[in-house]
Amino acid sequence: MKKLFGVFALFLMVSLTANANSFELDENIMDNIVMEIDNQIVVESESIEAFGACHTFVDTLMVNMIESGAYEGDNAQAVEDWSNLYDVCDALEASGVM
Amino acid sequence: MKKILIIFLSFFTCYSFSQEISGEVTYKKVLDLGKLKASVDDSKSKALLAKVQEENQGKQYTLTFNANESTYTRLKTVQNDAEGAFTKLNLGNFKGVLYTNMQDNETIHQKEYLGELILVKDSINYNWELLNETKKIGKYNCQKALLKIKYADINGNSKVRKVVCWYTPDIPVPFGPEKFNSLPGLILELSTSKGAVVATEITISNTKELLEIKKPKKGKEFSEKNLMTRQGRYF
Repeated sequence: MKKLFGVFALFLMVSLTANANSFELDENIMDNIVMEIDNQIVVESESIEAFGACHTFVDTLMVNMIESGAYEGDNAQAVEDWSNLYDVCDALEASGVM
Repeated sequence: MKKILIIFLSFFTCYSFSQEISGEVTYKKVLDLGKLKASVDDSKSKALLAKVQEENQGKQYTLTFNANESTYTRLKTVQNDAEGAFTKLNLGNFKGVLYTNMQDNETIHQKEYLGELILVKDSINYNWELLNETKKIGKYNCQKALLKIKYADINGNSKVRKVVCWYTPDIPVPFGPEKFNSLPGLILELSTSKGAVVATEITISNTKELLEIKKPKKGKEFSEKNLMTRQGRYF
């Protein structure tokens, strides 16, 4: 998504420079483009927040599980499950769910 | 004299039976995380436990044994191998292959740990309490046994984990599901705070064609104590 945004911004700059002398950009069009970029940034940052939230959620969950005695003192199993749940978050992020 | 002869004969029969015995048992996991669910107070943790229980319910495992050794692992079937996001968790699951050798007094648990194949070695040391209660599982007469395992929780408080087993002296081998063994008969049912493991199919062979039990060799070696200490650093 970042790459796409970068390419889009670059394309916009090149287009504007190339066409600067040939026509004056309509102010409304410019506003729309800025709004579109703003929206993209919002969507992007929401994704980052959601991604972080998944890991934070796992942290809270695992602390609850360990404190409630789910692992009955088996720290090795708890650490491994903690890591496995992080993998679930990573997979969700990679598949675009988050 | 007669008494001595009878004792000798029964010992000899029992000894030769266990020397030639081999077999395979299929176990089914009946996961019950209800108690655990009741002990957590947030709805998200309860939802996770419900999902873990749903995805891991009814998984089948197989125990293969001869007189001295056994292996325990998840049964390979299409239905059994269906992987959900939570089937990889240890919570309520048994992962990898557990090899037991009674003569060498050792267990080797081969499993994937944080993306790496490891061998966790441990000695066999169970202090079972044999109880008088009996029941039948299928055609086998079973007796009850109780195991109390002491451990320290995350806050260092001393706790006890209880394991209840039903074993059958009709099949005189000391093996059972997961890492539980050392009883005077095959374990057919095991209950913990997270549910039960129940034998559903038993195949016994008393011929000399014993099943071959493979000792797992691949993986980085750890002792059980070593692995626990290593992970203790995270807390």
